[in-house]
Amino acid sequence: MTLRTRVTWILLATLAPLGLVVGIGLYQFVRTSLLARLDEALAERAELLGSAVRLRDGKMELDVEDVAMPQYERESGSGPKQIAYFEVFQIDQEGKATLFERSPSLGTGSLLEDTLVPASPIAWNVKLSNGHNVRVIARRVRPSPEGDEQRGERGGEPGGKAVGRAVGRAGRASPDAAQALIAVAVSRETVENPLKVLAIGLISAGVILLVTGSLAARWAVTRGLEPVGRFADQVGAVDVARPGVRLQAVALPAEIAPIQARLNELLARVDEAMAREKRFSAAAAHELRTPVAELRTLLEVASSRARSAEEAARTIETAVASVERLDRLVGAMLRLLRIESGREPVNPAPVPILPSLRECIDSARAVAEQRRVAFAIEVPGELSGKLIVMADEGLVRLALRNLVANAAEYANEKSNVTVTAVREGTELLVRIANASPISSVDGERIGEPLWRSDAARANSEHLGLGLTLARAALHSTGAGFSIRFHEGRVVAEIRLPAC
Amino acid sequence: MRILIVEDSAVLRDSLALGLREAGYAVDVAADGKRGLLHAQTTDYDVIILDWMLPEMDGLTALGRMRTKKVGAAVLMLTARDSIDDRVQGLAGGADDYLVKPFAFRELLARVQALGRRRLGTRAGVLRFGPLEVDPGAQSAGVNGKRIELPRREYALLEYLALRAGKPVSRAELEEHIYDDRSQVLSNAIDSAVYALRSALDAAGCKGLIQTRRKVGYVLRDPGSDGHSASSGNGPDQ
Repeated sequence: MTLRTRVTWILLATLAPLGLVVGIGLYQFVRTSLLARLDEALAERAELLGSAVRLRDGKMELDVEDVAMPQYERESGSGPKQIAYFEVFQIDQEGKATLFERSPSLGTGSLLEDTLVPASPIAWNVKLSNGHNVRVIARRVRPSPEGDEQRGERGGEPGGKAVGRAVGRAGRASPDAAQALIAVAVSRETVENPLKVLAIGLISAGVILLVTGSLAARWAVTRGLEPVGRFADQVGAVDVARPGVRLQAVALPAEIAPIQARLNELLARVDEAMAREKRFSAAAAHELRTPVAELRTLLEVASSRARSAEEAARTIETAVASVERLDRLVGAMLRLLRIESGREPVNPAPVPILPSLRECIDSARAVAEQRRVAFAIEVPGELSGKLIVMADEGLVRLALRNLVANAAEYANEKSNVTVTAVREGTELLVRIANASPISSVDGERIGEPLWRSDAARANSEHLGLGLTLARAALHSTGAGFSIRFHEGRVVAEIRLPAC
Repeated sequence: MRILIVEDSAVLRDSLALGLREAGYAVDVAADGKRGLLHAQTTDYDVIILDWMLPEMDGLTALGRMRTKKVGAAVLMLTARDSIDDRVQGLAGGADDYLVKPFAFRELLARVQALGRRRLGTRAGVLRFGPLEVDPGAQSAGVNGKRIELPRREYALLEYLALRAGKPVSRAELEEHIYDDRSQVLSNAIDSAVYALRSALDAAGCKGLIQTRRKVGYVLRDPGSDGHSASSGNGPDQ
């Protein structure tokens, strides 16, 4: 799924419910407001009608003179919006409502569906028999005694006809009746029509918002990703075979900008690795070709003329020595390859490190004594019997043998090689340190495959693979290895998992 | 010709030195870059065979310093580095030729001879002076098509005089280019060698070819011409 599609879907999934909630909320708010206004208007109508209900001689009657609302007279065929309805019920002592008066506009319809009389004013919706949807409000009123002209003067529409006249009769209420129930209704169209418009508007706005939002999101993502596309082209054009190439700064979004810096750092590391590989290839070519060149020249020159038996024997001896060195070099390189490719078997087991160290030092003792180099093992007394690590013994010995032999052969003459072993947490740290005559420039290259110091180069027995083999052997058995040159000393550190 | 070999591999260094000495050259050796540079600055070598990867100072750095110090010897870079970049870098650094290890000794010898001829101002393969022919490639000399056997030192003397034909060559120059550091050179060694060479040429019927220039040295001239160039069209370029 593309980033554009993903962002679009996320936007839709976020906006759609939000828009729905806002739309429904707005709709309900407007509906409630409109109904409240309608109910208020109905309540006023009901109050006006209620003021026209009189008790004359103990009987209830509707004083039509006080109410002049032509809407109540209209036929049911007129426009529903202009029609109003009312029913007046007399409530007897038992609370039962008896229809007392109703507007002609009701026809055969009824506003009150049952005879239960609400105790307090209520409003509800009714569908009349003429098909009109109306809003009804009902309230109890206490008829005013006859002669209460003040109340009778309230309400009424100017120029309107009196309802009583239209109805043509004035009901007689029971003298015991104390209350009347007034039910007034008008069409709900004044509420429903604006609500329909509002709903259509909200739905349209929602759809438009979602569509434009999606398009805007896709456009924004596309525009936002344009620099990324250019950046990708730049990355694609990088030729790792050409060192020093770096990605140029482009106007990347701030969120992606760090990638450029990280990629440039990666390219720098690739350059470094490539340079190291190139140096290794050159060194390997040199180390492999030199003995072949030695052999070829030796044999060609020897065979160019007749030689004495002594000369021939010397030539053969030299040739054999060259072949042996070549054999050792190829063997070491193949073993390095095996170890680095994981084809050398690794069998971790508890290995007591001190005996291995002592054995390696013993095997390097002849060279060390010749150069007057002394080895000193420094181990805290309480640890001497506990220096056991979990590793492949053969690989650990291979590494230690190379490191100790290097120290014996290339430490400063008449100097000390210090071998320390200390426990650090769950690891055992073995440190081999010695003073070295190499330069700081050479010190930075120490440990590079096939790199040899001048002293080592002068020694044709030295292959330049010892430290590389040690590093590979230790890494393959799960140990850490580092070697550094600092202030005239070479310090090799091995970190092995302690048992 | 006198050659310097700068090579850290003892086997290769010794084999090359033996082969080149047997080919009639005076050969000195150095095992590292610093010593090679010192040799090149103190002796007028005709050709220097220089390894690239050397202890103390790498070959390219040593070559650069040689060129800075106006060392005029032709330099043959001898190295295991075989990439185009390496060759270009070596030649751009002042080398006259480039040979990748391993190599055929005969090829190296031919390149050394070509470099030596070029340095001494000739491109001819066989040098002819009247009846005398000198073939540096075959390390041989002949008169009227008949080979004359010359000891290694006398042949080297004849070849050097032939390469410098027409130009007087001092005894010191001859001594420097014919003998190497190992040779025990007596004060009259050059005169003795010239005498022996003249005797051999006289015996072969080639008289008066080597003339003495008083207080200067010796010059090889073609008695059949009043000029100093070879009689055939492929003599030394002057």
